[in-house]
Amino acid sequence: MMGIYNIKRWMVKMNLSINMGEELSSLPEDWVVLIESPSELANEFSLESIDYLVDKQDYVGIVLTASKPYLTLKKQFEAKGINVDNIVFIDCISKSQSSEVEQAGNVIYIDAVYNLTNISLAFKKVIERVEGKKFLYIDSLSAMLIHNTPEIFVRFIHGLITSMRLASISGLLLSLTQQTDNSIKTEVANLCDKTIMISGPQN
Amino acid sequence: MEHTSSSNKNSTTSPDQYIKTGISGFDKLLRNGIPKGSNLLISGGPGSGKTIFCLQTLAYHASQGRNCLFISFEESEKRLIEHMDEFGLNPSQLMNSGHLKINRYLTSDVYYDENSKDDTVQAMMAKESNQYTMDLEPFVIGEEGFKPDIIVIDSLTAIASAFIGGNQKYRLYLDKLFRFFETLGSTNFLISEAMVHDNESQGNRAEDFLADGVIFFYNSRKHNIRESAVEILKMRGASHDKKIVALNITDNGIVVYPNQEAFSRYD
Repeated sequence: MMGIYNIKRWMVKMNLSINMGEELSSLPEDWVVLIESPSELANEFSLESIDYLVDKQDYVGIVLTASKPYLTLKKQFEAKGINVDNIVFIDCISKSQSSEVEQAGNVIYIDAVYNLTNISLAFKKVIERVEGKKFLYIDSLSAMLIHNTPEIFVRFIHGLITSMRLASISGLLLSLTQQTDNSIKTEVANLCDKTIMISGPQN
Repeated sequence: MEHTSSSNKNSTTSPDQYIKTGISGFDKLLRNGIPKGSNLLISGGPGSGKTIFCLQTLAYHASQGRNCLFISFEESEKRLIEHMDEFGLNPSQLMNSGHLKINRYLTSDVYYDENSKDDTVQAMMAKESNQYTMDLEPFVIGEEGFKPDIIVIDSLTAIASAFIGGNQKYRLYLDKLFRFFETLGSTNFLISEAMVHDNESQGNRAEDFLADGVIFFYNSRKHNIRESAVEILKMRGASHDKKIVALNITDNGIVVYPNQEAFSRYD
């Protein structure tokens, strides 16, 4: 099943959350969706999606970040009015840049983006401890692929999605258009229930 | 998919015939446990968790009232006790209970070098009888008649270093060691250094063939970090998972994740 969107930039701002709601409500429970987005729309789309799921659908968000540090994301989410108390962050980049990281109850730091084993363990730890319906947001597959070989990365995603299915957890996996190898996108798309493609204003 | 292996289909499943390590994640890799009386090779590179694994296992059994003995040819008793303390394994309490003993020896205590100038009576007797290896019983049983249920030797690598140029003698020594353990009925953990990428050593050494079980600890480097993992390479008489799983060395000792694949390359 594949939904293809041609969303102008202004439409993203105005209507994306509504479109997301429509798309996600048409999926079976515990959906896993691959999103392909141009880099210039990715940040906005992330905020809209997380806002919709956390604040309007009462999900607990698990945000696995490989592109922005926890503190940056936290500020962006708060500026957007997203309740960060309902989000657990798995930050894969801050610790690789600094030995001093701000400790908080809702963040787990991973020493490097390529430590896929510890990322998996952190995710399992979060889903064991956090109650309620949950979704995982990965931002982004493209950033994770900078640091991991495609073969191992696909194995990791396969294991992660299997864990999500077993624990009834939904997922949004963001992949940047033109920055992720097509064969990997195809492999990951096969594991997901749906692919949402977002194209920029030029399209 | 779980991959399991059993090298002895006729083995019974009586719980009395198996032991656990007390490391719950690791024990889940074995259907029933480790067959009692086995000689297990605990193999891996430096810093991979071999010694901690053994110390935890000993602490678990000593706390259950079984006699446990750690024979060290490397670290001092004091350092090993400190290790146990760091991981909250209560060594003083276990030693005071009489169930845990830690003894350190020199490799020259177990092997007589015919070219040495050693003029001790024991060395002269060994030379006279051409036996080369010293009697093992004093090391294990001791004067107090302490009969261990679980023995750790740290390490076979250190012992082997005393046999440089004498591989045949080392193999004979190992054979003698294993036979001696059989008479005791103890379950024995024999630590051995081995590098994961050293195909010549992994699985092809004399001790790999002689041992009933081989447990391999990995400490793989990926860019600037290291990742730990563990694998049961073989375990005679016991079904076990055949996969490499994640391991972390925490403040409380080793934690094994039986359902977590390790993503670093281990081939």
